[in-house]
Order: sequence, then C-alpha cells, then structure tokens
Amino acid sequence: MSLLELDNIVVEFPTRRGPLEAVKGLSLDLDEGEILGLVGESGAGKSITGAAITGLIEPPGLIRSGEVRLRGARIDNLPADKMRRIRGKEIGAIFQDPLTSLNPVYTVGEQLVDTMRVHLGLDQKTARQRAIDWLAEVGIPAPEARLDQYPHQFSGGMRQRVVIALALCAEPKLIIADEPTTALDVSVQAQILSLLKRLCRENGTAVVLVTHDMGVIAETADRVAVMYAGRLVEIGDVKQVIEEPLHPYTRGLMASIPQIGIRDRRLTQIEGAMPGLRNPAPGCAFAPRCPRAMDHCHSIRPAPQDAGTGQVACHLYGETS
Amino acid sequence: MFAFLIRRIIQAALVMLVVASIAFLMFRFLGDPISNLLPEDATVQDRAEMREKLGLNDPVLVQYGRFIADAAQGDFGQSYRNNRPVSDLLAERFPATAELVLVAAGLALALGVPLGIYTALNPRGWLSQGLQVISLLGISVPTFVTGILLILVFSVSLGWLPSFGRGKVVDLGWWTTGFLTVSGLKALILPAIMLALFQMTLIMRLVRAEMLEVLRADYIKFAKARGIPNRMLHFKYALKNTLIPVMTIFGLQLGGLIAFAIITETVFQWPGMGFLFIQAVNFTDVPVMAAYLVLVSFIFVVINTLVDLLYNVADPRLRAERTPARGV
Amino acid sequence: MSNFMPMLYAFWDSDITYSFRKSRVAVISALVLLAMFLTAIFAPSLAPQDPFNIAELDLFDSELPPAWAEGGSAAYLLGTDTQARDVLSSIMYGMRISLLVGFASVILAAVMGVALGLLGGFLGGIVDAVLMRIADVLLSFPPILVALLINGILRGALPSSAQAESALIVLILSIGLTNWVQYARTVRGSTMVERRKEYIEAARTLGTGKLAIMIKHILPNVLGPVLVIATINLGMAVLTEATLSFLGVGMPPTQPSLGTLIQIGNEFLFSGIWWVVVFPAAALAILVLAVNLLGDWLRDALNPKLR
Repeated sequence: MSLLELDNIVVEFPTRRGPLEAVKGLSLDLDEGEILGLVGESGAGKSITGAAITGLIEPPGLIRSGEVRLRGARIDNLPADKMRRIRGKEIGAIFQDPLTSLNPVYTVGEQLVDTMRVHLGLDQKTARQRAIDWLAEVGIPAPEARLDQYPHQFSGGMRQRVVIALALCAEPKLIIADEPTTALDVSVQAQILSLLKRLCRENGTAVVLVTHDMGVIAETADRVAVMYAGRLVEIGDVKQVIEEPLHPYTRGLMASIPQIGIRDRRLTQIEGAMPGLRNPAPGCAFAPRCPRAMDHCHSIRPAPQDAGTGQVACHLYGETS
Repeated sequence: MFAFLIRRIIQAALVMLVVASIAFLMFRFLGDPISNLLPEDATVQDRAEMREKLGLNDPVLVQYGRFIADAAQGDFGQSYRNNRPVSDLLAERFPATAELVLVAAGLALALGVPLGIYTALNPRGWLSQGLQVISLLGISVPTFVTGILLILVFSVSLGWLPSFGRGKVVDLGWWTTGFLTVSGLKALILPAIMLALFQMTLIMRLVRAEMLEVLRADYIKFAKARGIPNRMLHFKYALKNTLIPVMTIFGLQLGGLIAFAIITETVFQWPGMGFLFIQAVNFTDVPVMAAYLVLVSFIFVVINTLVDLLYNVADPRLRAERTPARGV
Repeated sequence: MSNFMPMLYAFWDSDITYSFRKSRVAVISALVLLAMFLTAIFAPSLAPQDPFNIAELDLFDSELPPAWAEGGSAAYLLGTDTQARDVLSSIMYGMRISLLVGFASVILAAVMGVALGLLGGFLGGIVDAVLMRIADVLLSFPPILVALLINGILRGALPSSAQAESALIVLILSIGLTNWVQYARTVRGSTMVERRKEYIEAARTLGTGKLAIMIKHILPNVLGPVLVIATINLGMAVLTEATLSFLGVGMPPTQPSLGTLIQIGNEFLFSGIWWVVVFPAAALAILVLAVNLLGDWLRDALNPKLR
C-alpha cells in the first residue's frame, strides 16, 4: 500500500463568473520514503495540490471531488480537530519564504518546543533538549545559544534550516515542500536541498517536492510528476523523464534549461503560454502549443496511460495513436 | 538605546519650542492685554504704565526670550477673564481631567481589546455582526450626541446619575479626588463612559483589523500546517503580534482622549482643563489658551516619546538591531 | 458615439460597479446621502417653513411636540422649539450649512494637501523636509484640538462685531487647515514614486517645465487614493464642524448648522422637549453614518490586496 494516494482530485474555486477548476482530476501515489517532485509552471496547480494534501486550501476553495488517502485511510473529509492532529505529526509542510514562515516575536526555541509538546507530549525540559538536537541536526552552529534567538537574527539559509527542523521535529512520515529553495541564494540552495534529502532518507520521510525548477528535481527527487493546466501530463523516474521525456511539454521543459558548456545552441522556447483555467478547451490542454499535435488532440483529452517508467497523458503513446 | 533616547528628547524639545513660539505669537498679536487687565475708565497714563509694567515696550526678541523663560517655569501670567494666575487655574483643574481620562482609558482598553479579539475570531457570529454595527455607529455618531443621550436616559428619565459637576471631592493638598466619595464616583460614571465609547470602538476596530491581518500571515499558516491547536494559534501566536502595534497606537490615542475630554467636560460641566479651555476660546482669553496649548503639547510629546521607547523594547526585531544576523 | 454603449456596459460590468451593486450597504448609503444632498440644496423650496424669517413664526405654536404625539400638529411634523421654529425646517437648513462646511473644508484640505504633496514629492530636498516636519508635528495632535486652536486664533484676530458673519469662513478655514496633512502625505509618496518613472524623464528631456510636469503628468496618476481619503474625510469634517458648533465656537444660532441646533436643544433637555435635540442629532448621525459606510466600501473596493 502506498503512503499517500491522490485519487482523481478536483479542486475548485468559486468566482463571480462561475467556478474555476485549479486542479482537474489528478491522481498519483507516493510510497514510504520516496521523494516525488511535482513540477510545472506558475498556475499549473502544483501548490494547490500540496495544499489539498494538508487540507489547507484557502476558503472558498475546496476539494470538489476525489479522495486523498494516507495509508489507505481517507483524510480529505476529516473533521477539523482530527485533521489538525495529522498535520505536523503525520504530514509536515515547508513553505517558500523562510522569513515570513517564522513568527518574528517568538524565539526559534519556543516555536520548536511548542510543536513538539503538542504532538509528542514531552515536558518542557525534554522538548528543549530535543530542540537543541534538531538545530544541531540541521546544521546550525552553537545551537544552545541560538535556541533563544529570534528569527530575524538568522540569515536566510539558516532560517530555512530552522523551518526544516520545525517541519520534521514532530517526526511526520510525509513532507510537502513548496518551493523550499526558491527564495534563497543559489549558493545556499544546494546546501538546503542536500540537507533535506539526507534527513528524509535517514528518517524514511517521504517528500512531495513542489517546484518550477527542474534542476532542483534532478538533484533531489526519485520520481517526478509534471503538471500542466491543472492536470498530470507525465510521471516517471527522474532519470528517465529528464533524459528521455515522453510528453512534448516535458520535452520542451527539458530543452529550455540552459546548459553550461554548450555554446552555440539557441535557447529553446515553448511557443505560446499556458491557457487560463477558465473555460478549458476540449481535448488536450497543450495541443495549441504542441509541435506534434494531431487532429484529434484538439478534441479528445488524452487520459494518463502507462508508459516509460510511469505514465504519460498524450495521444502519441496510447492505443489511439 | 541611549543614542536613541537622546535623539528623541532633542526632537521633543524642538517641538516644544515650536509650540511655545506659536503661543508667544498668540500673545503678541491676539487680544488686548491692557484693556483686559485694566478697568474701563483707566486713563491713558494708566495704560502707558501698564504697558511698561508688562514689558510690552521692549524689543520683540527680549519679549520672546522672557516668554520662553517664564513658560519653562510654568508662568503664563494672569487670565484675562478672571484675573488669576493661569498656572493656578490649570493646577486646580488638572486632577479633574486626569481622573476622567484615566478611568476612560482603562474602560476603553478593558472592553475594547477583548471585544476586538472576539470579533476577529468569530467574524460571522451574530454578536460580532452586532458589534460591528455598534462600532460603526460609535465612530459616526458625534461624541457629544452620545453624551446627551446618556444624560437623557440616565439623568432625565431614570434619575440615577448626575448630569453635571464632579460630586463631592476630597482635597488631598495638591490633588483633589472624586474617587473617595460615592457622589464623586457616581458623577464620574457618565462622563467616563462617554469619553471611553469613542476610544473603545476605535480600539475594537483596530484590534480586529490587526488580528485579521495577522491571521492571514505566513507564519500562522505554517503554524497551522504544523498542527498547532487553534487556541494556542490564536491566543499565543497571533495575539502578541496583534497587540504590539495596537498598544503603540493606543498610546498615541491617549492624546486624543485628552482632546476629547474638552467635549465631555463641556457636556457634563465637568470642572477640568478642557472646560476651562473652551471658555477661554470663547472669551479670547489668550494666556489660558496659550498655557493650555503648551501644557497639552508637553503631555503629548512625553506620551509619544514613551510610546516610541516602549515599542522599541516590546518588538524583538527592533530590540536586537545591534546583533546582526549571522551564519549561512 | 458608437463607443458609448459598450463603454457604459463595460463600466456597469466592471469590478467596482459590480462590488457596489452587490453591497446593499453601499447602495443604501448612497441613496440616503443623495436624498440628504438634494434636501440640502433645495431646502428653501422643500422646507415647510423658513425658521429664520420672523414673520413666519407664530409664538402660539412654540414647544409643540412631534405630529404623532398628543398636542402635535401636522403642520410641524417634528415639533417646534421654544421660539416656534419648525424642527423639520431647521434640520433642513441646518443640514445645508453642515454639508456646505463639510464639502468646502474637504475641498480646501484636498487642494492644499495635493498641492503641497506634489511640491514636496517632486522638488524634494529642503522643501520636502520642511513640509514633512510640519506634517509630523501637526499629525501628532488630535485634529479637534488643532481645529479649535485655529478657530480660536482666527476669531480672536477678528473684531467681535464681525465674528457672527464670518463664522462660516472661519469654520471652513479651521477644518480645512487641519485636515490637509493626509492628502499631502499620500500624494507626496505617490509623486516620489512617479517622478522616477521614465515618462517623466521623457517629458523633462522634451523641455517641459516643472510645473507643467507636475500638473499634466503626475497629478492624474496620484489622484486615486485622494478620492478615498476625501470620502472618509468628509465624515470627519462634518463631525468636527458639529462639535465646534456644539461647543459654541462654530456656527451661531442665527445661522445654525446641525451642531448648533443640538447645542440649542441641549439647553432644554431637562424641560422635557426632547424633540428639539433628538431629531437634529439623529439627522447628523445618519448623515455621518452614510458617509462613513460609503467611505468604507470605497476603500475596500479600491484596495488591491482584497481583490
């Protein structure tokens, strides 16, 4: 049984001109200890998918249909207090901006201790000691002293380390990391990623790594899922998707990554832009921009089918080709 | 910290100087001290003598210097209206205003903050909606109208509470207090409520707005994602962030209370400094106007400086500006 | 003109009009305000009586309660005061004065504030520094106090015989000169942002004079928030005027605003003729409430963060 299953999730936002589907029928699984990258452009629906898993979609948005299952049990329809217990203890989260993720008027130690006492029932002293251990674990020097400092006294990279400690300290089995390194300096990004990867491997924590940066995925993930216009277009092992992408969109993404060392290749672009979420056209959402679109691509939407090391939603690979 | 304090004190002194200068200009160009201080049948010679005595023949700069020096010691001369030293008049009336303002401030805080928190946490409850409406009324209905309404209901119709004066006061030498007598306390109730109402609605709206803003912040989202229970989320994590700016704004509003006291004192004929000021404006009693202006400015400046100091101490981000962020 | 219908439709369908139509509160407030404006403008024709024309007063009719109470008369819907003046008519004329002072002072404050803000933001340097210092000092005092002070000074500077006639001007000046600071600050901020933009650079290269740049280019772009401030300010201005009149330093009884009416009525609180105070007070409260509600809605509608 997988750790996490998303079964045909549809996330809807009511607007004054009618409901808008940000995620349209997404399904994927995640095994224990696995790091899954969730990649796509801005607006593709990846962050919302992350929010759907933790049950933190901003109202009036809601999960219109589909199920989210943790170890086989449904969690998308739980009452609020039960869901709260799952958050932090079973599912942790890391957000993009470490500066705004930490409460500026409380010390780092207090925020760590509170989280652990809530979920692990520790007493003050033990929790403090654990907090010091965690700070050391994420690579913060002089943790006893730093425990009583305020977030603004840490640099950007340090803060994100604290955020990671906070997310992991209640020992969840799954972490949703939403663009964890986007707000950091490039030199720091690699460090944070390797820290995250190491800790998750060591503790057997699965990760859903949401990002628009393929480089991050290549570094860190085991498998990668590519989203476009609210749907899954390809999913498979990282090595395969990067070296031999199946879906034309994924091909375009890979080709548009600048590569050091190759000088005379022009930077490839994918013509056009991702369609808005309102009034989706029938057929494949990528068809208007696809260099290999066939006639029926514009009228029949391709369903995900097994291909490569995972699945792909494209008429090029199905029985209909 | 020390440098900061010095800087603020210098700023404060500058403001006081400007205010005192305006007061001096008022003295110089408004009203006629001589006609006010002498009886109607004074002769030309009497007037000339008076001019000399008041030093009105000296060059302007000398008069200015003298004015500032006197003002710094609290001497503003005699009131035109009733020929008594202005400082005496103000000293007599200060306790009345002070007690009123203190009670009103306490009331506004004690009710405004909890209600503001409640309406932020339960925005759709009927009590919240009701309070929203009342608070909107609170800032739309002029304060003197609420005062009159209070008098209509509690004095005229029900006859429970007095509608003017301070009741019996106890003289403690340099201070007269209404706290120690039943009639004093009774007389304090309606004016304090009137004065507090506006501030209370302001605080309530402020706390609510601030808290709603805080509840939308990323760190609250992250705390929620960590499964922090609602009670801790609201009352520990959101509250402190809300109250710090609110406290400072309230401190700055204290000045507003003193100003609004003018209206309250007029409605209830409360013998405080505000009432004195209005009578002075009506009569163009310049010494009293000037003295009130300087005194109130002084109080404001002190409050502002204290609030700034407090804010620096309370918000950890500002406190630790000396320890820069380290590490990678 | 073929563009007109689509333009009108676009406006009707635009975000802001939609938000307006959706908000019952905003619509009701706007209607109430409109009714009050019209009453104020047409008071001489609408009011059943001119309360300041002694010839129309019949002392027999003084101290009559409202029409629905015992002893009341349909001719005086809301009753009369001790000098047989019809309360309803007094309110209409009073509203006229209150609105006049309110609007005039807001316009004065806005013009002054916008002008100073443009100057400070555009010229920078010492002009701006001085301006900001003055603004800071002014803002640290409660507006009612500043208004009272300016009022006191202006009145004191006038001979007592002229005080009654000039009350209107004095009031407008007092309130206007108190309230310009918010406008100045906002406009200054926006100006400083705009002046660094390229179109200003372009205008300067073309040799356009500083004044022309300020008025033709920058001004239209910084006016947005000014409208919101003005609406909120209107309520405050009306309240301040009412307060000053109530305290006895505003409009005199010969030319009363709503505040003056309340002050006059207040004297008779204990003699049982409550209608002389309650109705003007209610009118004032409704007026300011409507303005505030509309201002609240406008502020929320124009706030980019809430969209």
